[in-house]
Amino acid sequence: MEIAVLLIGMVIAAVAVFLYGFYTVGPTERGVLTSFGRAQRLGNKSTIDDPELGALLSDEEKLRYNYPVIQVIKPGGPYFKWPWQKLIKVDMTIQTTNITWDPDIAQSSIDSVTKDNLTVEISGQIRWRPSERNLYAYVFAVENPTAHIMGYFISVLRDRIATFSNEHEDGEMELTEGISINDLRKNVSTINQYMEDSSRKTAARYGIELDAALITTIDPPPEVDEALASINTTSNNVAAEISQAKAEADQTLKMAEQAVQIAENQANAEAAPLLELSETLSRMHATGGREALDSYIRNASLPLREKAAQTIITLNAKNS
Amino acid sequence: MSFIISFIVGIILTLIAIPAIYKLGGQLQLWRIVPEKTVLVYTLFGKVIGTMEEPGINLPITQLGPRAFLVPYFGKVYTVSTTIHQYYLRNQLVNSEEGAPMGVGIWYECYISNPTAYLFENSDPVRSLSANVSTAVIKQLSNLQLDVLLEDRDALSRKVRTEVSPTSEQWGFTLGSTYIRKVAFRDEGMIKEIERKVVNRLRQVTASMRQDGENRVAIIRSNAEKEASRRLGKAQAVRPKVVGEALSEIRENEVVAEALFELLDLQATLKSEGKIIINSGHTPNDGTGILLNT
Repeated sequence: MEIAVLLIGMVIAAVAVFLYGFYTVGPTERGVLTSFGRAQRLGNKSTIDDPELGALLSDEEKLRYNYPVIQVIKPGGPYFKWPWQKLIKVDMTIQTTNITWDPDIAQSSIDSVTKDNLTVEISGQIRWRPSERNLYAYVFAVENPTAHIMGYFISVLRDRIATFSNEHEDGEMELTEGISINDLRKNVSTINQYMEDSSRKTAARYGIELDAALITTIDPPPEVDEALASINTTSNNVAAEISQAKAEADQTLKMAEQAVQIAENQANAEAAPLLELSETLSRMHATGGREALDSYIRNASLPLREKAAQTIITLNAKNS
Repeated sequence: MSFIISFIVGIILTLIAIPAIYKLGGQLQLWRIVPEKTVLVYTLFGKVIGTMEEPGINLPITQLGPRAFLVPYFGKVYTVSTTIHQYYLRNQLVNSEEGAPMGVGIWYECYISNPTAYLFENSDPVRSLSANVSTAVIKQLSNLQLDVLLEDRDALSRKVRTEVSPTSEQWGFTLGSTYIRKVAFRDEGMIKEIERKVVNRLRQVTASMRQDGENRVAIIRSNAEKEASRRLGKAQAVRPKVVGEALSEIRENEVVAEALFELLDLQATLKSEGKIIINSGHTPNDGTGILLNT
C-alpha cells in the first residue's frame, strides 16, 4: 500500500515536471533549446556555409568564426521541453547603445584624433540586434556581445575619423583643405554610412547585426569651433556678395541688350520709309520711266511755292 | 499519516532525489554534461588523461576507460570556457618618430584553443597575453611617423597580432582580431599647440576666403562691364548698318535713288521753319529771274 502511494507521489511529481515543460516564445523573442547542454543543430551546416554570412568573412576569418547553425524556435507556442532540456530566450528587438558606453569606465563622450591631429569629441548611438541567422555566436560563442560590438565599432570609427578627408571628384582644391574637422562635420552622414558598411560583418563574427550608426556630433575644442563659425560666416557673406554682384551684372547686361534693341528699332524705323518710298518710286519708274518720276517730283515741289518767301521765276529761258 | 508521508517521499524522490542522483552521477564520472563552448580537462595522478569537448551528454568511461572512475578520488576535472573574450589595453605609451608622446589603446579578442596548454603552461595566461600584446604594441608602434601611427592602423594591428600569436598559441590562446582602438596625444601642451595651429590655419582660410570673394565679385563686375560696353558699341553700329543696307539697296536703281533724294530734299525743305527762296528754273543760270512776294 505504501509503495503504491509512493509511486502515486512520484507520478504526480513527474506530471508536475512534465507540465512545467510547456513554454511559449514571445513575439519579440527567439528560443534556443539545449539538450544536456548541447544546442540543437541543423545538420552539419555552419556559418561559412551560409551564403549571406559566409561572404562577409575572409578565408582567415572563416577559420576563427565558424559556428554551427542551430535550430531557432520562432515566436508562438505552446512548445514542450523535457526536464533535461534548457530553454534560452533571446530578445530580438533593436537595442540602442550609446557609443560612450564602456564596460569598464563611465564617460560622457569619446575623443578621437583627426587627420590634422586635432582631438575632437564624438557622441552618438548605435542600433543593433541579434542576428537570427547566427544566434549560436550571440548566445554561446561570444562572452559579452555588447562589449564586443562596441569595441569593434569604436575601433573602426576612430580609424575612419583619423583618415577622413573630403575627396573632391573634380579635383578642385578647397581653401579649407587640410582642416579635416570641417569635412568631418559636413559629412557625418557619410561617416555613418561607412560605419554601417564596415560593421556588416559583425553578423557573421559575433551574431550581431548593426541596424544603424547614429554619430550625431563631432565637436572640436571651443577655440577651433569659434574659428570654424567665423569661416562659415565669411563663407555666407562671400556667397551673398557674389550673388549680388551676379545680379547686378545681369542687370547691366540686360540694359545693354535693351540699348541694342532700341538702336535696331530706331534704325529700322529710319530705313523703313526710305525702302517703302524707294519701292513706290521703282514701280513708278517701271511704268512711266524717268518722266513719271520727274512729274511726281515736280508735283511734290508745288507746296514749296505756297510756302516760299521768295520765288525766282525763270522767264524765256530758252531765249535769254 | 503514513499515506501522507509516503506521498511526500514520492514527490521528494522525484523532484530532489533524481536531480541529485543526476548530479552525483556526473561527479562520479558516470556521465558528464558538457555545455556549448566548454571543454572539460581530466587529470589523474597529476597527469592529463583526456579532454571532453563535444557538447551534450558524454560517458567518460567510453573516452577515458576505467580510469575515469578514479578521477573523483585521485584527479580533478577542469572546466574551461572557449568563448571569445575581449580585452582593451588602455593608454600604452609610445613615442612617435617626431618625439610626440602618444597613448595607444589596443582592443583584442581571444579564445582558448588548447585548454590543456591554457591550464598548465602558464600560471596566468590572460595577464601574460596582455603583457605580450602590450609589449608588441610598444615595439611595433614606437618611432613611427605620426601620420603612419594615426592612419595605418589596420596594418599595424596585423603586425601586433602576428608578433603575439605564436607565443599565445603556446599558452593555449588564439588571438583573434586585434585593433588599434585609440591613438591619442598625451601631452596637454601639444594638444593646445595643435589647436592653436588649426585656429591660425582657419583664420588664414577665413582671410583667403574673404579675399577670394572680393576677387570673384570684381571679376563678375568687370566681365559685366566689358560685355555691356561691347553691346553698347553694337547699339551704336546698328544705325549705320541698317540704314546703310537700305540705302545700298535703293542705290541699285540710280534713277529711283536720285528721285528719292530729291523728294526727301523737298520734304525736308517743307518741314524747315526757315525762309524758302525758290528758283523755279532748272538751274540758276537758266534765265533772267523775277523776285516776287518780297
